[in-house]
Amino acid sequence: MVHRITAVAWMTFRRLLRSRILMAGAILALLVMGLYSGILIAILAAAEEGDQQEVQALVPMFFHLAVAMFGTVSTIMATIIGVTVLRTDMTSGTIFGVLAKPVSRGEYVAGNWLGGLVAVLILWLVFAVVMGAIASGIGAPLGSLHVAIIASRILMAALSLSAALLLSIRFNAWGAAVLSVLLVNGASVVEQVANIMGALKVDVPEKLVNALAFPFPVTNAFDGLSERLMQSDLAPDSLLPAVAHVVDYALVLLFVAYLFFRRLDLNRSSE
Amino acid sequence: MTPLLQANGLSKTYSARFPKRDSFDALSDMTFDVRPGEIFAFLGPNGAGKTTTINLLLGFLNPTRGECRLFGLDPRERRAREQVGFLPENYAFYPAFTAPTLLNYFGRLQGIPAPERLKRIDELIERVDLTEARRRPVGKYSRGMRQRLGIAQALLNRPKLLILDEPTSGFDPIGRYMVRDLLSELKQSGVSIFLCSHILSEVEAICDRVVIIDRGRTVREGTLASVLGTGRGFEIVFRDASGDVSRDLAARGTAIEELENNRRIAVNDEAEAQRLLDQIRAGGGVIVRYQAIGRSLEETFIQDIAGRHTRAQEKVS
Repeated sequence: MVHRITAVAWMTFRRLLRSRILMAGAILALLVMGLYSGILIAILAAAEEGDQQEVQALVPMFFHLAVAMFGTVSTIMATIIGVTVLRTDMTSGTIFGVLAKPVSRGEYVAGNWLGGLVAVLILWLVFAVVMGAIASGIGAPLGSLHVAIIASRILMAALSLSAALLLSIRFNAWGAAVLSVLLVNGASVVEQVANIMGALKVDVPEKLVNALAFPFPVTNAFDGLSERLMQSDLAPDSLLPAVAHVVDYALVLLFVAYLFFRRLDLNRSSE
Repeated sequence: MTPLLQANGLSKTYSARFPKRDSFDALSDMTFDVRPGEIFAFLGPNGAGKTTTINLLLGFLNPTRGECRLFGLDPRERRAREQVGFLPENYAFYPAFTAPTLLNYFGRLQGIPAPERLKRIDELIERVDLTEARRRPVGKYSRGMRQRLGIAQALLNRPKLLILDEPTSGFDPIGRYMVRDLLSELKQSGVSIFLCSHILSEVEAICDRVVIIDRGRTVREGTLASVLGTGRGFEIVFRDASGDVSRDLAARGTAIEELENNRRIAVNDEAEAQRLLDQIRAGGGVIVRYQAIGRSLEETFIQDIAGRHTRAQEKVS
């Protein structure tokens, strides 16, 4: 089973490389990072003037902004990868060549997910190397807290990937992308809508807001995880439940994707 | 002999529930089997349900009723497809990769050990005449070259059963000859072949059994000889030394053709043929040959399908 999943994952990763989705993601990340280069210049200027206090204040800000920005880019990338890999195979017909081989549909879904995850991990690896180099250059090397923050963002990307993969089985790429963003960030969306209604003097009962946000608990879990990390709380007993929650959610979405896909009619039409 | 592939009462209904409840029977009560070592032709006009049947046989679709078995297993089970090679009509490959890369991928999925896999890939690329194009991305291949690669991937695992959907589609005459040659070679080595093709002269030259379907239903099935044998009627060749029998038959209005040494009668009805046989024997004639006059597979196919369509139109009008 493992060799078939890894074979599908490897091919998925190579397809993503060839399709230049990863390259586009890296360029997008660099462009957004450029927006924050002002802070980097300020850090370098402060370091040159020997103002260590200023450097100490700016470095965490630079890191957190860069992580937040790259986290958003990687989540977008994960969503694009998720809605692309399986859907493209289904629409182009390449899926039939693969599933005619002794590969179960579960192995196929898992392989596609794993290949997409490897692509996201590589994006993060590049980011971590760049950040590590910059941090060392300005005399503030990355520590375990930074690694934990990056890991939490990777978890979020894995979750987006699962949601997008699941939804791409039933919806087209755009529909799946929008719905997966809603699914992953549903609680925040409900909260924002409630705030807007409040601003418009429409009273939305809190119980209703909670009920509407209930199917999307992951945002809260992830927000809680981010909050703890921002407070430099690396205690396992406070981090692990939040991590487990995000991982659980990602795996449940992947499993639901498998259940949907397992008995799906794949209609290969005659030409 | 246990069949390698079985379809029992296989049916598929597509239903649309929204905006209105509508359904369409793509396949109804299809029953057949493919036995070891035979070439089984599965024929029908466009839209007859051939592709739906193949999709069901490989587990891409779930049957509405009935069942199919591949090597005794449900085709949706992974193990059922271990000894199957499949070639769809227009194989969709990942266009950015080369033929060896794609074959290597398929070989990995089939669990073929690396050294054997690489050797087999080289063999097959040579066999399907893609050696010169092996470093070129498949996206730059012609349709015929993609079809050759499709054949190579279908043979990668040395299958016991090949499911081929229009294997000569996109080929020039040389390519077609290569496929025909390959199929004969595979048949000799004991591989069973489930073959869908519109080129009936080629099918007729190599197949053992035939099923003709139309609008999701079986129209005719049987061995090639039985399918072709019941067409133009029956032929009796006899020797009549005295000429008495011939005179008697001619007097009763039977048309007799004079051959070099014998005489020949052709009739449409089998009962009529039997009556004439009795008459010839009773009159002292010697039966040299009695046989059903065969049609070509193409004639049989056209007559069956056109007949059904005419009857359906008459019903409608």
